[in-house]
Amino acid sequence: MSKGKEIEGEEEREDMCGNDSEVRSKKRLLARDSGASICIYANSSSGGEPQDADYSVASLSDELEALILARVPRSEYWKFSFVSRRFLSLVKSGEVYKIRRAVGFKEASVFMLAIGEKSWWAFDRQFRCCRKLPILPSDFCFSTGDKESVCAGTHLIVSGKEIDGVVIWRFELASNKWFKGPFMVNPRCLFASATCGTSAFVAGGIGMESEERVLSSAEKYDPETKSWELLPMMHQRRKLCSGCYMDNKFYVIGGMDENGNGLTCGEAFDEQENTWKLIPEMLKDAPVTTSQSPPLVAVANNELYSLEASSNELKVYLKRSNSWKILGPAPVRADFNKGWGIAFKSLGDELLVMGASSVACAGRGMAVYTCCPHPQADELQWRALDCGTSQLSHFIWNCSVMVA
Amino acid sequence: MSSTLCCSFAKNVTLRSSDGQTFEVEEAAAQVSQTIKRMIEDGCTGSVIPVPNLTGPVLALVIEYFKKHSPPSDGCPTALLEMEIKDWDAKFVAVDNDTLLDLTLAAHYLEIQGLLDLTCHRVADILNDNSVEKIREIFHIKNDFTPEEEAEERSKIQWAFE
Repeated sequence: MSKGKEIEGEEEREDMCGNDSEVRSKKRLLARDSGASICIYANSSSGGEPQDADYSVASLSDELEALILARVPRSEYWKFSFVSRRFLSLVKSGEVYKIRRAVGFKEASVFMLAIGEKSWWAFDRQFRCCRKLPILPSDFCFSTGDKESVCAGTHLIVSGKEIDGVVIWRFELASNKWFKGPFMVNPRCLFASATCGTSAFVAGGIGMESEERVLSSAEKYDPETKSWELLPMMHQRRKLCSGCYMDNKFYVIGGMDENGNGLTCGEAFDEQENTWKLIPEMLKDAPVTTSQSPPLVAVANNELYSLEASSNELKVYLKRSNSWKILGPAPVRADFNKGWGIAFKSLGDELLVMGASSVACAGRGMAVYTCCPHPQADELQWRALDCGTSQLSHFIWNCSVMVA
Repeated sequence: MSSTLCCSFAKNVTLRSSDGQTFEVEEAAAQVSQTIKRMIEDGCTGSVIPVPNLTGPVLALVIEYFKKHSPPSDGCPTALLEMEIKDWDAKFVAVDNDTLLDLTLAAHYLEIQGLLDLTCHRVADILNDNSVEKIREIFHIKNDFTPEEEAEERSKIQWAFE
């Protein structure tokens, strides 16, 4: 941005506030060689270094370019990568995502893997545009096996098993690449997870270290340091449990204990107090069947919702009475595969459900619905989104929402 | 004239643009700009404050913004007023691209956070609606890639709009 030679210009102030030379030096004006690009040293005191505030007319400074790029929808960043080297580096270095956080501009996008697909797909919140991620360069064992996914900041974390054991692959949005690691302190599968801001929490699951055992440990992932940190132990060992983040707490709900018995209790981790609180009978009315999926739960507007796999009904959790209220059927067939293959996620103030549609004319491919739920409602209005991807299978392996 | 004297009755300040135009504006309104606020606090009240990064027409627009966004004298802004200001803001930045860029630079230089948010959003919307070539043209951004580099970057991104 810096061009031309700085030339000391004329003193601009006509009517002096006294003859204070220090005040005058603060207003010292430096004019550029032409009228088209002028700069002023507005804040330089007599002793300090002058701060250059050089903006040539009608051409944006690097800082302004970054501030503007931070406000463009993320799905368009591919385009901006080609504008100039500066834009490319803003996007690729991830700097633009830091600025987005600083100016409070963020969008949700949905990452999912459908059965039969080699690539993960990414959708914007409205499902108007989608793209395939680069192929995850894992071994065959990982790509065909069970996986769990969770987002933290601009990282998508995918956990699964390769021939040599449990591995983590992470997709970094900024560089558009997959990387291996970092591994959890206690590598695990079939665990609960939740995203909180730029962090991710995991808890429980089956530990895969020396011998397979059901875990009560929990960990937190920080994408800045790319590291996992152990949290205090839960009260209960559990696998096939579900997680969510509500009321500033990480909730872990249901699942099975080490003997394969279904658990109706949940527990909540309070980061401030660094403790877990057990919530008995949180799922007391939910029917438990063998080989069912972990509970399908999601939080919208800080209220907890669950999609009952046996009946396809949506329920809302009543915090005060530790009970659930039915809000009518969701337009998907969660009962087809005992809850497996359905994605039920939070989009902030909306709920997202993806999978096999229960609407006859919806076709055989993946259906996508959202609704803006209200705990006091008797029935919810679901909106079908036409994402032009009906060629994707209705069975969804994994789904995670990234907010960045 | 002593500085104490000139500060005691100064409710207005005079701003001067790069092309020598002067504008009188209420001190409270001008302090929407953090840069001008600091200048006033540094004791410039009563004198002409040079704003050499802005031409007369741009400074005139910015002063309009000052007037609309100066803190109300009678306390809290009402919801109705806030809505009216929002509408006004939207119209304010519905200008040609060069004026919009001038306003963005002015907001940044004069540290007017509200105007900076407003103009950046508007510019982002325009960027979003245009092709790469058009973006470069509108915003005077030089394509500093070699053709080989550009082709390579394009090939790396596997976007599948199906």
